[in-house]
Amino acid sequence: MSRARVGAAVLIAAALAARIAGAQSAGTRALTRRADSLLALWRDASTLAEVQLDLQAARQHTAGEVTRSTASVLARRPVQTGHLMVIATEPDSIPLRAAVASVWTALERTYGRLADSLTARPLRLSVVSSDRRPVTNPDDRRVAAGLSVDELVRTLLGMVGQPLTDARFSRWLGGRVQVMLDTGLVRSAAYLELAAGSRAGRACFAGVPAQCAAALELDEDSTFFLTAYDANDRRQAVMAARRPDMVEPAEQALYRQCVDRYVDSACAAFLGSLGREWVPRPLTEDARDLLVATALDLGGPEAYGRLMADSTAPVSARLARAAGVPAAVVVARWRAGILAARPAGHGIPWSGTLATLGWVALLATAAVRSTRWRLG
Amino acid sequence: MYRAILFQQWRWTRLVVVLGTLAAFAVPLFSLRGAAAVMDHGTAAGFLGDLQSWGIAYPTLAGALGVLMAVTLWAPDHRGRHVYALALPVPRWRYVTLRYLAGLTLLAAPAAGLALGAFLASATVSLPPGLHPYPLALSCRFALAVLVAFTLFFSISAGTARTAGVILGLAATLVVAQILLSAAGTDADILMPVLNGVLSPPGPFAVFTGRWMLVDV
Repeated sequence: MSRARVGAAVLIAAALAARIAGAQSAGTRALTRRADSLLALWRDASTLAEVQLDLQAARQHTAGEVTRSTASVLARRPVQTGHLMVIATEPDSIPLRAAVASVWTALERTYGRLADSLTARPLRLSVVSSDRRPVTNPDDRRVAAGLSVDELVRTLLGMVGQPLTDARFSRWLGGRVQVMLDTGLVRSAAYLELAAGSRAGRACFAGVPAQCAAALELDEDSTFFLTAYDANDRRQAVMAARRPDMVEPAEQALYRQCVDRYVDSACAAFLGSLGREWVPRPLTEDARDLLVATALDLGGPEAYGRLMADSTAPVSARLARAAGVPAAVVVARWRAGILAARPAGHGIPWSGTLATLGWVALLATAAVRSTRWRLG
Repeated sequence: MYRAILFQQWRWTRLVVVLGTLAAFAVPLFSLRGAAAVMDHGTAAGFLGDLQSWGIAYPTLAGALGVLMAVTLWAPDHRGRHVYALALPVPRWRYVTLRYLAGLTLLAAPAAGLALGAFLASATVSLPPGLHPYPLALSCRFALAVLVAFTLFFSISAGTARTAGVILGLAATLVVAQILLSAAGTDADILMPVLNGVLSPPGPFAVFTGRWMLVDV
């Protein structure tokens, strides 16, 4: 009796298991089919997007070539340096030649051979005087007559734009690779970031190379706040990331523990829950831009190509490949450049003090020897 | 005689000296109100930016003290047409020197007030690592700026009205000439080189320019 019951129960259980397994495998197969279908759709969409981008580029290239070839014929007096051509309505009222030369040099220095494709299409400017004449071509960028070279250079660079950057590098950098015109100001700002910044930044400032890499997040570690920040930095980061009124009710306890009670584990947990892109970074994008500019300077004309060659490689390896030297050397050069750009001193040099005292002596003598007294 | 002149000048300028000393003492203390021991780099940059804004107060105060002291010191002489000074049995160069030294002695009070305020503010403030107070440099710079401003305006005030007129006339001529040149559409700039000359080292007013920072990197 009992054996028969046990046998029946086993049979029923086996049948049920087989049915569930069959249903599960059918469900898995259906899901796999859907995933495959989605993948096929995504591939098709990607191919179409690539074709569209290529077509657009080809169209722009053709339009650019036509504009280039007809510009001189139509007596538009284009200004060209390298591959960069600018057509302006009144080229003599702006310092166009100097600006175009400067922009081309900067583009070539940063992007190397890719500068050609960035400047495939000539740029068009419409110079606006005080009489406010209407712009004839809607594609023209309006610029004021009497613009300085620096302003014009920045306008032209904005019109040229930057090449696309892969997601990994862009995530680390915080955007696309920029042309850096005046690194002096950026270096001065970076000096302050290092001198009065996060723990890793301060250690880098003091001369610990490994901490420079941590401050620059060269490891691309999503928990950089554990290595680059100390407890105070983490608390500051929490406060910078979320104002008290922005904190979700569920996160309030953790937030309060971190901010009000200075519990470091709560700060780390809060930052960990935010997601990498919301955690304040140890250094600004400008400082990382400066590192990339250093690598490109070291690497020469083809450095940008090498930097973007392998989008799957770690950032530090890509920087090293671009620069042609180990990443540590790039970081050391970056740090040296920043330290050399210490903001102007708070005191006055001895020579200045002596000169000032000389002026004081001169003026005081003039006062004593003034006409009024000699008349007496 | 020095003590007599000093006492007399104190009576004339005590309001300027007392108010100047109080202001000089207060500026460094107020400028460091936003300081904290822990700052991220964004806050530190903002704090230094605020401090740089406060930095305008130091040369302004130094210049104002110099002008007010010099003008106030000579005002009674100008009103009395210098009869008292001419009646004194001392060489006039000595009389002017004594007045100049007495003026400098009185101006030592605002300079000392600023030094006291700067050192007090630096001693009590909490700063993040990487930022340092520079009270001595700021105090010396302020004293030098006061000295330059006072000496210049003392020199002008001690001279005749014609001398002051010539100096003002020269400055006005430069400005008018620059306006006319700009109106004529030329790019010629005669004002900026002169300004750069006096405001950059080794010009007489170089001490007034640059960063006046009690706290810096």
